[in-house]
Amino acid sequence: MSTREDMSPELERLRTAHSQIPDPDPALLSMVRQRVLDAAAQAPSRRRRTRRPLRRLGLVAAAACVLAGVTAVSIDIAPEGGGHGGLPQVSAIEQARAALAAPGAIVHYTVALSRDGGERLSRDPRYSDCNAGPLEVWRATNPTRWRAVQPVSDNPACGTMDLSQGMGPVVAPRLEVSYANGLTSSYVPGRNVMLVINDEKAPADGERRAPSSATNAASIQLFSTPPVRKPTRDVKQSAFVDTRPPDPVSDVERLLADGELRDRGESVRDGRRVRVLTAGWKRSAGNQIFDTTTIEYVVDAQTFAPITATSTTRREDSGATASTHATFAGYERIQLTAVSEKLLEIQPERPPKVIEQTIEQIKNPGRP
Amino acid sequence: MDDPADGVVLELAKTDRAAFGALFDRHAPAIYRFAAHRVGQGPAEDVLAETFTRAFAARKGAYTIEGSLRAWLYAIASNLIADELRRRERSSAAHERLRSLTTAQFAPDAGVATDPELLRALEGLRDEERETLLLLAWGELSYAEIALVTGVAIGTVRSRLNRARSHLRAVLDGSASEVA
Repeated sequence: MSTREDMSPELERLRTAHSQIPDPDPALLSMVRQRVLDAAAQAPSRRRRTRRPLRRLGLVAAAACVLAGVTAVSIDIAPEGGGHGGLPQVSAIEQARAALAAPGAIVHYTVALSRDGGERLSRDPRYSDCNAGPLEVWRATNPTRWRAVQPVSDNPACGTMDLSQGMGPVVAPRLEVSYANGLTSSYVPGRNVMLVINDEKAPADGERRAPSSATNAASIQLFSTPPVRKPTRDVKQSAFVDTRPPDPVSDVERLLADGELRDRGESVRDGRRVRVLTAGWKRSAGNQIFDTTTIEYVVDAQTFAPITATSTTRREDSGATASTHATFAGYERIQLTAVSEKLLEIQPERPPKVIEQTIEQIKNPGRP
Repeated sequence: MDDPADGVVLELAKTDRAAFGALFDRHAPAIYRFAAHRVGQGPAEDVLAETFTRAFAARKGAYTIEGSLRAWLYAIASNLIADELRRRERSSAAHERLRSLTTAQFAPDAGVATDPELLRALEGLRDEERETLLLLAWGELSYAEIALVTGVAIGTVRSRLNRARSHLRAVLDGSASEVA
């Protein structure tokens, strides 16, 4: 909703008064900008360096256990800080990370997303086919490259997303996203257009950012299921606790990379032995806490293959909660060969229209 | 509405300090003007710097959908403005209210301070009603964004706006009658 639509006299008078406030002097803005970035440069890293020695100690201890043929087994979820006798905390994180990055193999799996209440509207015949299927992912490491394919419904009632950078809307039958060598590509075969974001100057940064592109693609599964995530603002969204894109998958990727997940130990879910990893954070401004988010990442206790990832946000003022669930399926490892390598690349049927953007152009829109 | 690329840039900013500069360039002018209208241009500079410094420190937990980022920045700025206004109010009391309510609530040299009727109408509002109205009129935030900034339900935003606008209409219409 645009507030400019409200042209009542009292609001117009307020706006007229505000128009007398001059735009800030560019030199002033530049000075304040530098002040902020200087302060940012001096800010300590959020990462807790003091945990590193413990991690190393844990790895050594875990390795010692393996050498000694000792297996740590527990059924109950461990208390905060995880681990059993302090041993496998780091090992679980490392193995969960390795499960998504197996050396010499392509890791292949699907991700189905759902949100609280989504099942109600999905039973409505008008929207029954909006979720055209899960995101399918192929990924390999050293160097990191991957491709993700999200099927897209052709039912116009389902809505779609409009990709930025001049890409236009995503249409059926699918959206493909890939990452390799600092290039993140988004391809809409139904319109034969491809967006390539070039991060070649800092491929490590691109590698870290790219998973959110896949998760955005996966969020198409949630269109026309409540809470609706439309490309245009809808004030009705505010009835829900959180309007962020549902993002448990890239959250998990980031938390694994940062070592911020905590091992809660083993448990049994639906008769299956699993390992539970969790993390959480608060979103605040000054002293005001808006909401608290927790991530639960559940993996197979033996293989550490992903099973589910759940992001739950609790609003501090109302106590309302909302959750997004990612369910992984079909996890497998495919031997990496010259032929299977093609699974990691987008293969357009005919030469697409390509829109290229450097990361600098995205950071500074409007500049050449 | 925010630029749709806000979310992309915020993602960049989580690992790239320079990208945070792009967010500053995009939102700083409007937030500065909003602050300058309330506390004056000098203090607005401090509000602006502190808003983005705090935003940088908390960027990993920030919203990443259009609209929400702007609301988040306004939430920080509004808290800082409120702190500054409270500080001035205490200062005014200590100096036997030598400073008028005008300078306690708005910058004294521009904008609403040059429209005495409008100023009187705003002064008659409850703090939360005034804040909600100004976020709408000056911040150009949507109802949903105002709800995020002020931490209340959207229905509360609507009722506060209704009361604020009714009051403004009554005062301004009354002023017009007096003039007539």
